[in-house]
Amino acid sequence: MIIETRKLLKNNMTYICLCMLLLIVGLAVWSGVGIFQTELDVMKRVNGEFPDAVALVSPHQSWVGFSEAFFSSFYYFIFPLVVALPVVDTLYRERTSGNVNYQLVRMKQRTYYLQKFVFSFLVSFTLFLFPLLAGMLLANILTGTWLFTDFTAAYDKLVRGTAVFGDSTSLGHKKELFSDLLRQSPYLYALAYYLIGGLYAGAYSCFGLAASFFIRNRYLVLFSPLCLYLGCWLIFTLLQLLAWDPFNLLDPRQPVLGLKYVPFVVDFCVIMLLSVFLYTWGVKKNRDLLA
Amino acid sequence: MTVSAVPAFAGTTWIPFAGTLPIMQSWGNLATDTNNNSSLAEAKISYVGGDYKMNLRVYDIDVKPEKQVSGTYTDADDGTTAKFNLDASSKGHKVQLRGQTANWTIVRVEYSGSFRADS
Repeated sequence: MIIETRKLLKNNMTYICLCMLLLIVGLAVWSGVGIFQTELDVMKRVNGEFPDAVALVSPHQSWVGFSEAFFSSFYYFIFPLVVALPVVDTLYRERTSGNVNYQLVRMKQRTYYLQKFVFSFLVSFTLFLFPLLAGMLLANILTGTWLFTDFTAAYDKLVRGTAVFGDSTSLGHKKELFSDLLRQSPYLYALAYYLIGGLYAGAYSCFGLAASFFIRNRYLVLFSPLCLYLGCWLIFTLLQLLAWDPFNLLDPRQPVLGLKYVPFVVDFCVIMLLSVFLYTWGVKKNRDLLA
Repeated sequence: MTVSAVPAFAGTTWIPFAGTLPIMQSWGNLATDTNNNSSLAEAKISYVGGDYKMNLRVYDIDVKPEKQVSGTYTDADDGTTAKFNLDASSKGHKVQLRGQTANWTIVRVEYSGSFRADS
């Protein structure tokens, strides 16, 4: 793992990807804060005498994934590619350069391939999560809000049905999934979505790593996690199974009907099982490398 | 008599609308009406395609630049009735109901419903 970490830190692609993700997050937060402030100004003017309605327009809605800003959705659109770029072709490069022969002399085949798999998962998980947490920090600095007690109190009333509103625009804030977390704190709700997103990011990278055993073109290897993600997006959209599409599942706004907890687990397990199967098959295929 | 009655009831008549929302969460214009008094504007959504949801807002289009004059109703679907308190500055102005899909999608989502600026 230490050697893998050193390789990662020496790879320029790691820093390029991190900067790219941070830039997308920065732009998403910047636009998100603008949208939030406009919404808050309007809400104060039209529903100023209803504190619950005003409190439900909360600064956490400018966090990445929570706003309608272009770059907020773009982050969720592009992440499988960017979080995988630094790690997804490592096996491919080591096989084409012959370094894999050296590595397999130094350690057991099983250890080498297992390390690669786990390391890719962890790196992509971290690369997905870190910019989002940075975005949360940036949004809080820009809006000057760190505690969301007004929001949680108003949301609790909304769920209980005791909130008083001037119109019905506040009703759309109620969430079907993880609502209890949102009642406690937007941080918990966001963290749940961000952690699940991180797990998926890791799974997509592992799929790319496994696919690299079977794909001869490096660019196809790099794009394979995104191809899987967008392929599912296209297929689920055409089949009208929106609630099963990871692109919709991972969105903290819960933007489609029929969302449930089961698809989170099923989709993740399917991607991981597919990756493990392909990876094991690929390893077996290359078993006679040193023979 | 008919002429004098028109301004008194303008805004309270339901204006039907139908069409497809733009892709990638762009905002589309759904219906336009005149806001004659300070009562609630209403939008009844009869249909949103598939399992999609839509977000709704009202804009004052008689000012430049056009101004958002209501809160955003998020996640409207089939059978939703959204009621909007409109900013007092839009009184006497033309207001437009706008909508977008609640998620990023490459599909043009169908919708239908009706709108009135005064209830």
